[in-house]
Amino acid sequence: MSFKSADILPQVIRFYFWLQFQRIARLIDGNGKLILLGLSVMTTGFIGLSVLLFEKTEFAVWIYALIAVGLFVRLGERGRNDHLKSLFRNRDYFKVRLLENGLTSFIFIPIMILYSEFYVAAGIAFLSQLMAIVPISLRTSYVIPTPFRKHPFEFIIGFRKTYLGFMMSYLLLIKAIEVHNYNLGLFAMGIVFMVVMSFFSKPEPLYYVWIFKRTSGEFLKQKGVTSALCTALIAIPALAALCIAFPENMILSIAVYLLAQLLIGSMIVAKYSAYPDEMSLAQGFLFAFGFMFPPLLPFIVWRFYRQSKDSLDLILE
Amino acid sequence: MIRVERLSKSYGTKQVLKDISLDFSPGNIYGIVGRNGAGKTTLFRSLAGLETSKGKISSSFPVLKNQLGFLPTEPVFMPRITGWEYLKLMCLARKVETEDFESQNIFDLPLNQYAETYSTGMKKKLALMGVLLQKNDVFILDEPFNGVDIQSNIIIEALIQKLRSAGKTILISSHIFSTLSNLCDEIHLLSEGTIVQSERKGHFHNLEKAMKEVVLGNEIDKMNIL
Repeated sequence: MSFKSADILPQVIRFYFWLQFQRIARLIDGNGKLILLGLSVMTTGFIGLSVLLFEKTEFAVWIYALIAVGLFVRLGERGRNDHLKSLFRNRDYFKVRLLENGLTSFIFIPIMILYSEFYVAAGIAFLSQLMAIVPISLRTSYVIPTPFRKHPFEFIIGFRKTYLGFMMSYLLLIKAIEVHNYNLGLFAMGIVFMVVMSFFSKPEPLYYVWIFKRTSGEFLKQKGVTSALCTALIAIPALAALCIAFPENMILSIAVYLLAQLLIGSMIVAKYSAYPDEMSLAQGFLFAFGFMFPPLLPFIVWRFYRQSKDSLDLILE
Repeated sequence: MIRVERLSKSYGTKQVLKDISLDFSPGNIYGIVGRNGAGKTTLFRSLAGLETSKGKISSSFPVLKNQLGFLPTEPVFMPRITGWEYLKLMCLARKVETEDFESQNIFDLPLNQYAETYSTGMKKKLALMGVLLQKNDVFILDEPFNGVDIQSNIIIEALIQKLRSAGKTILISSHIFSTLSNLCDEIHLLSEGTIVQSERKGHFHNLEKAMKEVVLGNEIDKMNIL
């Protein structure tokens, strides 16, 4: 019994993945000429940052798992999948989705295996395939209540999209207090901040910036203040619980909270530094660098802030 | 031939389509009209297999989806792919072997530019070109005239008429009643998820009258602007 490659992967699927490769190449370098160099830098940078992360924290594997699941959710977005469904035959659609999620999981799995996190690696591999088959978003007319209704729009949309993430982190926090595991509690609070950060991962449509009657500085200040207040509303109960349950680590808890607030602020200026485009890979790496070496954060934030002002000046002034 | 029997669709407790039964025959253009939120797009998405719904959709094709070209109200384009690459992908999806898109580019689209940088109207025209080049038998065109310039609208109207002559089945939604009444063989009025009235060509004035009565009523007076 023999299989032809065309039976398993029809031409349209091969073309689709060739297009995806082209898109990555164009993201790295507009002309696609420095693709090999770009890919080498990306791979080296990713491995370097991963090793650093795994050496620094015992929760690195869970951070990786969260990022991977976040990417699966993004690949499973409704609009994108509707397009794929209308494009491919049912069988081919599932092949494409299984391959996409599988390839995405392979970015993270080797590092997990390298650090002997076999169970998490297997879990991610399984989830990647499950989330390709099972639809993850159910459309409903029910309006999810949000405490941020008066503060459009990142936190309103973000909360409604990710409230399960917040619920999960608070359940984890309760568990951490129950078993008296401070590190787990800190990690649970970290999830809250990572979810908030994801609200600023994509640029909003230009119109949502253009409508503001503010200077770029005022605009960024307003975004920062709103985000700090809304983040506080979500994260301060977690911080308070940690401080009460683990009073000996109160200073550390508060320091982590403040650092996370600073990181979210950096994420905002990083987003607008490339606006209206998405953050480039170089900017993404710079942000990740700040994440790994917090002392460098003020310099990185300042650089992003200057770039953001330049980008926003063109739209607002 | 496509037959829709007792099609219903709900989002949570909200019922969007209620027991819709319709027949669509080859060589005919069908118009679906109704207010915003009446259920037109949900009906189209259900026919395209993008929504799970109750009821039955049957056709003379083994798999309807594989013969169906669906133009959504707001077409989706992946970032950083050119118009040419988009068309190539659309054609390969239906095993249509062609690369000579420039000679078929009746809308003069800049096919070597990224599709995401196109204007609203250009995006719509590119998406329409995509479903046309796929050589489908059934076309569902959700608001094909929206955001498109007058010249292109004339071309689109002519294209739709040509598809009918070729025996294709075409379903269109539009808020421009005059265009629909020019083009369609049958128009269905959808209201709150139900087909409330259907008229064949020659009787569309009944539909227009009914719509005016339902929509206008004394609504204008409510605004108290004069």
